[in-house]
Amino acid sequence: MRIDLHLVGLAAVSILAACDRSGLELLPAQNENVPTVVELGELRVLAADERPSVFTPSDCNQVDEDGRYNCYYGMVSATDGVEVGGATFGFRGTGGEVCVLVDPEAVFWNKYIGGADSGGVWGYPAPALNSGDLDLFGGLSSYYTGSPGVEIGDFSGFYTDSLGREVEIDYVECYNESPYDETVEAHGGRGAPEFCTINTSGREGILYTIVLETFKVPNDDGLLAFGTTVIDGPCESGGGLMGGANGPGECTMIGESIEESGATRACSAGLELAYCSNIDSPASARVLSRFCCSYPDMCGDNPPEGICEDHSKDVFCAEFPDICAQCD
Amino acid sequence: MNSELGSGPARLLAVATILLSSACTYDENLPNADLFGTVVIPKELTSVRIVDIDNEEWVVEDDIRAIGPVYIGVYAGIDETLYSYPHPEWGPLLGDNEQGDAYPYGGTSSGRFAWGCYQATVCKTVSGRYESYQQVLDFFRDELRAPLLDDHGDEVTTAEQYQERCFEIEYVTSDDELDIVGPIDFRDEGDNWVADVSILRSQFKEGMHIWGFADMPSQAFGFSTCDPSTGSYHSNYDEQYYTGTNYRDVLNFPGKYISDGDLVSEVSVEVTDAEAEFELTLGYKHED
Amino acid sequence: MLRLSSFARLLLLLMMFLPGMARASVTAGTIKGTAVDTGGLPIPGVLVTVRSPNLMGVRQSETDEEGRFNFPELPPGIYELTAEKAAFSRIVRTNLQVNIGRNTILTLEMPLAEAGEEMVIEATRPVVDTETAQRGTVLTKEFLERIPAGRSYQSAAQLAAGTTGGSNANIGGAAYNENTYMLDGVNITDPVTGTFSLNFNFDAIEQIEVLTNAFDPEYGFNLGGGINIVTETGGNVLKFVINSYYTNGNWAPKQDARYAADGTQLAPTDFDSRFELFQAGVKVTGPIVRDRAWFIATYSHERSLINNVGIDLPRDYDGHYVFGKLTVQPVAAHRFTLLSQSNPTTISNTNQGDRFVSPEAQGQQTQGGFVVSGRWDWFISPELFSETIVTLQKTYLENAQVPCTHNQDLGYNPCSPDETENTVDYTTPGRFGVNNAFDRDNYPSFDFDDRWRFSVGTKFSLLQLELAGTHDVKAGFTADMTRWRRTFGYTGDMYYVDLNELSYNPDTLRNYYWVEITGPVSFLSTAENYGAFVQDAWKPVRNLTLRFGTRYDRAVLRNDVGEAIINVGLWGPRFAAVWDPWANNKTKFVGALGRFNDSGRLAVPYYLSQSGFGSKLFLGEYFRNGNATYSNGLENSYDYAPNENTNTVLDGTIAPHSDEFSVGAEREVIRDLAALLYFTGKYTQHLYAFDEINLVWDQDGYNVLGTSDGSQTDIYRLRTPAIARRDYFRTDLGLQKVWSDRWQLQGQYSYTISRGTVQTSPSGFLAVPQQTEYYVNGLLFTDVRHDIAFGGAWDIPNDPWTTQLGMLVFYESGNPVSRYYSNGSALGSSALLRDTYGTYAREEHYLEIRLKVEQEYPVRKGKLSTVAELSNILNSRQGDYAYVNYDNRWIIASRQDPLQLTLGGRYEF
Repeated sequence: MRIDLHLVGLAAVSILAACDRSGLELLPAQNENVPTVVELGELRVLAADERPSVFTPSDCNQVDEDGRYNCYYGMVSATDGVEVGGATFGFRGTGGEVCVLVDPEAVFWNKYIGGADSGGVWGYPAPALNSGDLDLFGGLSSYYTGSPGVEIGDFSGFYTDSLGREVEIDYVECYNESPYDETVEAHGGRGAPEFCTINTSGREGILYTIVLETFKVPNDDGLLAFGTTVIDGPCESGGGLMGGANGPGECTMIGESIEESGATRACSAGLELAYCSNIDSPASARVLSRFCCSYPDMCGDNPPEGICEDHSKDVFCAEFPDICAQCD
Repeated sequence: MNSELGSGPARLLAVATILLSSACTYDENLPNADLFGTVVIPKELTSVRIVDIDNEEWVVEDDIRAIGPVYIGVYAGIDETLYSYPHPEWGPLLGDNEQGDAYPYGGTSSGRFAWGCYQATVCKTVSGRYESYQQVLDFFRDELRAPLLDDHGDEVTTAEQYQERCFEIEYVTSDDELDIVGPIDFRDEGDNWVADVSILRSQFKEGMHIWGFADMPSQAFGFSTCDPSTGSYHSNYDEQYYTGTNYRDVLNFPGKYISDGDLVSEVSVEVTDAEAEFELTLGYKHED
Repeated sequence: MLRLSSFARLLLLLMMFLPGMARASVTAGTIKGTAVDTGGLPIPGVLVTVRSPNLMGVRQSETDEEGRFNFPELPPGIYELTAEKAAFSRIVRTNLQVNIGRNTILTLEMPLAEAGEEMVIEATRPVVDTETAQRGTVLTKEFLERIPAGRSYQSAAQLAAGTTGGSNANIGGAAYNENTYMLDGVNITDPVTGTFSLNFNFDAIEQIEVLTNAFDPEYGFNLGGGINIVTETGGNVLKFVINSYYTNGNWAPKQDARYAADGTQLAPTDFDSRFELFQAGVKVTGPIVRDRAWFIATYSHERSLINNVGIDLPRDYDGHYVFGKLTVQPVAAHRFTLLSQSNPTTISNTNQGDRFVSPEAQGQQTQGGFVVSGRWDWFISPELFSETIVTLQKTYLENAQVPCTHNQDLGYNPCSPDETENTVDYTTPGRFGVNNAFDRDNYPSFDFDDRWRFSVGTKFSLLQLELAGTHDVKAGFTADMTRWRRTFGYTGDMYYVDLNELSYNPDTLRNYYWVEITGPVSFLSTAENYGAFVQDAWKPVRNLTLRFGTRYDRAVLRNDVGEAIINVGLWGPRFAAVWDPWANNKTKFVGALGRFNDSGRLAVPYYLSQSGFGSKLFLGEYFRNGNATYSNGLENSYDYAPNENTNTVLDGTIAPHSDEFSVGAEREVIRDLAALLYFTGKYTQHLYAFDEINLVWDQDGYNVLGTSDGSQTDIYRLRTPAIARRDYFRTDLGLQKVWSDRWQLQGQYSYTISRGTVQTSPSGFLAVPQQTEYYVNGLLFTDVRHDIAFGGAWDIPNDPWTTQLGMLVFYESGNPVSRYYSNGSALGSSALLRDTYGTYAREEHYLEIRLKVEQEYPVRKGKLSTVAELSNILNSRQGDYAYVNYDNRWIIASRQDPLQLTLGGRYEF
């Protein structure tokens, strides 16, 4: 009988020993309160003189009398990895060129994360895992195959030849122009803004659909936040990746790292401002370095030698009160 | 019950026989067809004018080694709107695609850019044009008047040396494994060069057209359909370069590549019966 | 013999149409025969009794009017048979071997008795089964214990003719993933890959049946063969066995990576290798209730440390195999069996193909799972019985970084000071090194893979049915449900590739490029398989057996979004005739014809799964500094691949199948020794293959002209065309000596011709017609080969001690070297062997000789043995080949194990 029990025990141990991990906990957490596919409705095409020098969440998410947003800050949730997530919105052709911009969540020097030449900026940018990546596509709404708010689609259409054979071809009219090694039609990496110019000549009032397709959702909270806008006129490419006074880029929209509550993540806009302050004086990374010395949680724990030794947060905040206001 | 059991074996055998034989009749209903035929090139159109760096001019006459790859595509229809020669029906203009895009049902070639083991042959030698290494050497020396140089700039003088080089860098032990030498694609039929071609697993629709062109060399003996920045990458000590292959959209945008002297099929072949052999004549010499 | 009673008719009807029941299994054998007088006339009414240490109780039967007796469903093992009838001498046959799925056929010649006379015939075993056409071999415990088979069932299975390749063997002309593995009647084949799903306690094995060709419909096997393991059951005597073995190959001569892939000799290297293996086990068998309830419980541990040549850290295999089985037979009519097997295993430092891997970038594979199975055997009458098996199996397979350790004795992935022991990093991106740069930072990916299978099956047997001769009818049904859950991703959802242009110095690393990946994915894929069979072994006359029947298998296999990619119903009719011309059980002529179907594996619909990764490639510092340009054929310096699976299925695919014929003869040429000659032909067609449909090929099908839709995308279409085929012809010449007179021998020579266009199905590439004559790939490709497998065992009777000798010899003519031609394009590059058809550049032949000596010492209360085993004799320097890949790293492609010495001991009491 003892042996009999032993056998039962053995069987139980065998089964227990077979317990293993499913790995499901490594998937990005899906947030039940935030959809994976979002339809924003129609965005207003901002006239050039309406455009703020820097977009912030407070400038956007307000609708005009036609129910159109000026610009939009929002978020999408992670999917289960099989479905494609993302956001869609529409705008109406102006008859001329318009510039569409999307800036996914927060981390901008992503381009340098992968390279070995990220030296000089300690612990920054934030770990790559915390960056989101949205890919920008666009075209005439009539070619769009998705279901807004339900399913992300594409702009595939069919060309029917003279014998009646259908060939699937691509009707995308918006290819990312955000520079990556002068590569055309390349999507940006994590956190990198993407923008494109669409020529709407002859299509005034015709509805276009813009697709912001989720490529990578940050692993920290399973939410991918972003800012997006449509501006009248072509995207000026002079600003490079960061953007600038004219060209759209990383510094055109700030504060896009928003939380589920809708609030910009604490201090992240300060980090962006500090980073964008470098644009005018790229030879010196001092503003960002001094920001990092002042708010080391934002940049990491291992400042290189010789950067923070003589640093004073008070002096920094006196010099850049706007930045510190985002953090304190 | 008993009788059922009694007939069981016989019935099972019958089922077995039917099932075994059914394998022979399985039809995938593949929407494809293999097309076989010939491509004809009038000899009179194959003369090639060569100009060397000293501006000296001469003509290579009636030499198959000077015929580049022949590209053959199967298309829905033929148009004459875009170029001065009949060309494949083209699809919608999208973006900067002002050439139009043709969508072949299938296609094939006669000859391909075959790297001849030296950088000097990149985009200059074509398979099915040389039976021996000596013919390559002879052609470069006698017809192009520029002896074949090895990758260090020294002349390759003997076929043995040539073969040894190919075997060494391609890790092969037989000429059969190399593209550069082998059976000649074309046979001499009086006034024409004729080659057998097969178009494998083309999509099939009745009424589709077979159309093609031959890439003939430029005055500097260059071929417009060859992309020297693709193909196999040759890496051997200090030799590092791509060995060249045809541009991948040669059947989609043939107009981009048809250049001065190239031969185009004036009359395409309409396919109504996939079993029937076709004959495609490249009877039009394009001049810029 | 059984006349068809109304009850039996009803049951027969039921079993023909019974809905919803399991995979057929064959776990038992049969003793049958005839009792005759000295004049050859049958003797009815003879009481025949069989008994065995493996049989609960005894079985008895009286011979019928024809003098026939029949004992089906006997657990395999050694038996004793007695036959007695008044006025006749009592016959005792001892040492009879009952084999899985085989008939031990006896003719008992009973002379008239003189008072008290007993005739004992022992040590003679029938060697030819004159009623079966099945090809293959049965490896008995007594043989397995003596031969140096490396204590693994996969290794022992190599002894069967027509078996070649590695652990997942190519059997009978099929691919490595087309076999079926059974454990005590339970299908343990991996439902995703079609390979074996667990390692197993060698000590618990009673017999291994290796089926290669011509088997009956009740075997639900697919295109390949079957490995059918039957374990011990226990017995009326309590036994303990403890054993331990240690194998070392370190002292063997160094194995230089001598040959490049093209056969050229490489310079000798100073690379060293390591081979150490430790095995230990304990086994307890015995009764719980005498002749009513038996058990077996075993535990084995296997640990090996094996470095490939030039690799610093060893592949560290650490496996634990636990097996238990309880057999209860409360009354003669019912037997219940419960078995459980589990094999948790970790394999550390899995990357043995690359010299430059930092410890923290090494991977660990964790694998294991369990099988729990319950079985009910119902013996309604000696001629009518059923078995029902219910099984739950789970296997898991995980791959991630080797967990970190603070113990640095072995140099494995070190923990940082603040890390807890066994931490696995799932977030830091891995960095691959090329051109002498190390892989470092992390193992770049993780993968959690769980496979569940629930199966239930029933089989009915109705034997000795009289109808124009006798019939043994069997029918059964199986239902099999599989769930495959997999979660996988890249650590940090990205990886880097660094290169080192100068030296081994890590400081000269530069980032080559990096790839960003969409997040991890998880999917669930399911399948259902239903199988039914009916078969009959009909003996219209005494010396002729006609075996016929069919299977019907229905398979629905879905991809990750629930689309039924494979949805097939398959008939597998089979027919065989076995003729014993002299009706003396010493000779048989066999002809067999049959169809074998492949109902698929979940790996096939996986090709059409929607779960996957999108990726973006970004060029690194190496390119940005302007010293190189990146060309991928797309005229830019960036790759973007969305998560889109454009693969499609052609409407009207059918399942792959083989049509096989086999003819041959076996003859007992001297007592207990048979010679055999067989010829087998197997035509396999309609294999799963992906056909690229967007490419336009050039004249020879070697090079890509362009694409049909103008895009740079390959579009694959799953097909099962007739061109995706293998033709296979094999001739076997063999000798088979059963265990008697203290020796056994089994050996054969096989000459095989195979031609094919698709080796492993599903194939990722279907050659266009002109390519097919060149397209050969994998083992059993277009080839002509010679194989010899030979095993022998001999007990030297140096009483009171016994010395056991065992020997194995394997010879395979070398595999053709695959020399590929590639057009080097990013788009649809072809990879074709361009050796001239019929001529082969070969790797070196493979010759392996193993010797084993076991010395038994009688000790108080038991038996002590010491074992010495030498493996890979004469072959210590015959490596396969190594090659230098594009980035100048040594890649050790494959390599035969070095000369190894095993020392061990066993204590049995």
